[in-house]
Amino acid sequence: MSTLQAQAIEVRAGTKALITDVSLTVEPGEFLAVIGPNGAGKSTLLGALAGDRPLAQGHVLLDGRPMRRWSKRELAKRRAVLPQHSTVAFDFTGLQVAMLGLLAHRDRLSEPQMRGLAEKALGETEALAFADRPYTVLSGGERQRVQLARVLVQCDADPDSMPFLLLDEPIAGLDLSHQHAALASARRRTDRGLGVLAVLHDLNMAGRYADRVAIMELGRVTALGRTDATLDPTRLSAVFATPIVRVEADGTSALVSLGR
Amino acid sequence: MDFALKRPIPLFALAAVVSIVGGLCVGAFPVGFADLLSAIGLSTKPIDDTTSVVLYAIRAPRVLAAFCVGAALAAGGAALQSLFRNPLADPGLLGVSSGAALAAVSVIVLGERVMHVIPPDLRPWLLPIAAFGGGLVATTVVYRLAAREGITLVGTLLLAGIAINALTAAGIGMLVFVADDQQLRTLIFWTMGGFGSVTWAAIVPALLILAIAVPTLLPAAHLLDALALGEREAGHVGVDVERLKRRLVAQVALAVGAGVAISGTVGFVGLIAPHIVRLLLGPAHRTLLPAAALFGGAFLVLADALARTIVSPAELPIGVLTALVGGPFFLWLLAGRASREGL
Repeated sequence: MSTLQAQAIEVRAGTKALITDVSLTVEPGEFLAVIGPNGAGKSTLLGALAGDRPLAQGHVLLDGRPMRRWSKRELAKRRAVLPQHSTVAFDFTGLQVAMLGLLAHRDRLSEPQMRGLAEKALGETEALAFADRPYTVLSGGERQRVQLARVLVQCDADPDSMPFLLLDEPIAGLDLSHQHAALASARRRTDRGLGVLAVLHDLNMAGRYADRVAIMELGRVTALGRTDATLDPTRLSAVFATPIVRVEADGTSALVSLGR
Repeated sequence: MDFALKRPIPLFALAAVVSIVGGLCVGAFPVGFADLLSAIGLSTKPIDDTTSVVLYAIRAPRVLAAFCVGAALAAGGAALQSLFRNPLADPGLLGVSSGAALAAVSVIVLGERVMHVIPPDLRPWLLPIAAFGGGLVATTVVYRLAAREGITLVGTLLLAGIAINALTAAGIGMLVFVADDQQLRTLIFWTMGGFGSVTWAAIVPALLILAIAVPTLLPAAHLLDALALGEREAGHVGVDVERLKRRLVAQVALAVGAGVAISGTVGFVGLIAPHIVRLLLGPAHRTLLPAAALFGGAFLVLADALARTIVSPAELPIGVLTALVGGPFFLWLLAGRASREGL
C-alpha cells in the first residue's frame, strides 16, 4: 500500500532537537492538516517527510522504502513539495516556473504537452495572466499561486501515479477567495488518491478541508485524529495559550479566538 | 524581429561567422575576402604564398582560439551564474581565471624542473591541466565560502573573489622574482591576456578540452533552469543537486582553465555575454548557453581584431580592451541591482 510514513523520527539542529519521537502516516486519499504554535516543528516535520532533513532517529518511509534510497528523480514523481518562501533567480516567466514542476517527466512528455499541463494548472490557480510575466515582478500572493501551479502540475503529470503533496503554509499571503481555491485544489486531488499534508495556521480552514488534524507542540505531535474531534475549543485554547470558542451561526460553525 | 526571437541560434551563429570572417581578413597584413574564399577552396583565384602563410599559420589559429576562449568564458559564466543564482558571478571576478592563471604561470616558471620527466608529446597538455587544477581549487573555495545550505551570500561571494584575486596576484608577484627574462615576458603577457603568441601546436590540447567541456553543458540546460528555484526546490522537482553542483564546478574549471591556458586571463566576457543574451532571449538555459557561447566567441574575435589593429603595428593586450567595456558594464549592473534590491 502506498503511504508516506514517519516512524519515531527525531530531527536535530546541532545539539537541539527540533522534533522528537514523531510518528505519523499520510494515507492516500486523505487531507491531513498540521497545526500548532510557531516553532513547534511543523515545517521541520514537513521537511523530514519531504526527504530534505537528515534524521537523528527513526525512519521516513515512502511506500515502505527509506527516503535516502529513492533517487531524486523517482521521488519527484511520487511527491511534490511547496515550501514556505520561494524566490526565483533570473527573470523566468510564470509559465517557465510552472513547467519546472514537470522536470522529472521531460522524457515522457512533449513540449506542447508540458505547456498544456502547466497552463491548465496556472488556470486553476488563476495565475494564467502571469504566464508570460517575469516571476520577479509579481506580488507575494501572485508568486505563491505560480508556485502552487508548479506543484499541482507535478502531481498531475502522470495520471496513473498517486503522489503525495506536501504544502507548507500554502495559503499565507493569499486573499480569502484564493485561500479557498488553493485548498480546494488540493482537496479535489485526494478524490483520485493523492495524499495531502498541509501546515496551516487558520483553524477554520483546517476544519473545512482536512480529514484529519495533527497538533504539534514543542517538537512533538500531541494530538492526531478526525478533524471534528481534534479541533476541540478547550484543547486548542490550551495549545495556543489564548481563549478559543466555537461560534454557531447560519447553520455552520467557526472557531473564534477572543484574544489573550 | 519575431523570427529572430523564435529562432535566435541561427542568427547568433551567423553573427559569429561574420565576426570570424572579419577577424581573418583584418590586421597588419590585410587579406581580401576573395583570397579568403580561395583559401578555403570556394574560389579558384590563385593566392600568393605570403597570404597563405598569414591565413593558415597565423590568423586562423588566432581567430579560432579567440572564438573558443570567448565561447568557453561566456558559457562558463552562464553556468557559474546558475550555480550561484546570481548574474554577477563571473569567472574573472570570482578568481576562477586568476586561480587558473597562477597554476599555469607556476608551470611556466617552475615547470622546467619537471618538464624533462614528461614525454614530449604530453608537454602541451601540462599547461591546460595545471590551469584546470587552479581553476578547480578557486571555484571550490569560493563556493564553500559563499554558499551556505544552497543560499549564496552575494557579499561573501564577491569578497571571496577579491581575496582569491589578491592571493593569486601575490603568488604571481613572487614568481616574477624567480623568473628569468624570457619567462618574465610570458608571465606579463599571461596576466594581461592575449592571443599574440598563439600557434596551432600550443592550442590544440586546450581546444580539445574546450570541445568536450563546453557543449556537454547543454544537456544540463533544464537542470540549470531548475536551480533558479533554489537548491532545495530543484531537488524537489527531481534534480540531484549535489551531483549537478560537482559537475558544474568541474566543467567551469575545465572551460575557464583551458581558456586561460590559451590566452591568459581575459576578464568580463563571462559577465557581459550571458547578461546581454538574457536581456534579449530570456533566462532559459537551452537558448542561453549556446547563444551566450556564440556571442562571447564573436565578441572576443572582434575585440582581438581591434586589439591588433588600432595601435598597429603594436598590439593592445586584449584584457585591457575587455576590461574597458566590461568594467563600466559591471558598474552599471551593480548600480541597478544595488538600488533595486541591495545586491
